[in-house]
Amino acid sequence: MNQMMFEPTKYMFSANIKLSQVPGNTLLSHVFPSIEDFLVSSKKYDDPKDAVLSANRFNKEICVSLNHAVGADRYDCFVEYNPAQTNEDTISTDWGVNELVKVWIIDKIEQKRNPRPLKAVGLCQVLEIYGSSTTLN
Amino acid sequence: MIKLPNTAPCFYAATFEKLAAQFVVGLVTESFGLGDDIAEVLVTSTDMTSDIEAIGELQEGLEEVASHLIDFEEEDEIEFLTKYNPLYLPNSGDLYDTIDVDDKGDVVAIDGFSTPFVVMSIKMSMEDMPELMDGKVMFKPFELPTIHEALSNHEVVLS
Repeated sequence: MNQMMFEPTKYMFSANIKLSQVPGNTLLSHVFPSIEDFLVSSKKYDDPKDAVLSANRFNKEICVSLNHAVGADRYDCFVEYNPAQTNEDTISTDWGVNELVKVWIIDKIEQKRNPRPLKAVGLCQVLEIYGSSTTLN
Repeated sequence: MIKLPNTAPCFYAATFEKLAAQFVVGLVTESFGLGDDIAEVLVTSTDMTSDIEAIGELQEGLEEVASHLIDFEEEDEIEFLTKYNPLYLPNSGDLYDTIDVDDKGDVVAIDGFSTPFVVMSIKMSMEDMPELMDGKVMFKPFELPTIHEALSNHEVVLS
């Protein structure tokens, strides 16, 4: 008799940093001079807290690198949690059903010039990866 | 053979896995790259006007990353596999010999290239770590000739 087994739900983060929008585009341009997007996928975590902590650490370190590259305190990151779970308002309007957290990297100088819409340099999403079923013979 | 329109922007994309992904992240944030949190990295370029320029930049970038990996791993067994789409090469012989077809008889790949818009691909692997890096140079979509025209006409068009 066949048995169905479900793999446990995992968590990961996926980030996209628009390096071409950074003045001078000096991060990684010494290796790839025409780089536009820098996309990073994390490993899979068993605990969503670990995925969120790792995503936060990654984005903070990216901000430090970006600020160092432009020689100014220009970039910052902020976190939003899926309102379906917190009932709190967010600036983001589009939330995927498996999206737990968004971490935005913003250009503070650009934000002062044009407050809305918020122009982001990077977005990191913490995602829930649903377990798939496996048939055991 | 495919004849390119006068303006055909192209770009490159490179995927890095495992050690290569950690190294590339380490170029941006050194301390995070030292951990094991990263599974995969993808870099894409801005639009470029010359496929030759895109190929050169991609190759140099991948070789730069590879050179550091060799130092890090103290490993000199490193393999690059570079392939050019025969649709863009002159005198490629009978391209019908290189096609893959599906169950219906439709062409699904030519010499391993499943899309005509990919000009070249380059893979790098190390012992026990296959396909650590995978790069491609691609054209933005443009109007294509029929598959028969593309496979039959061997006019030189590579810039």
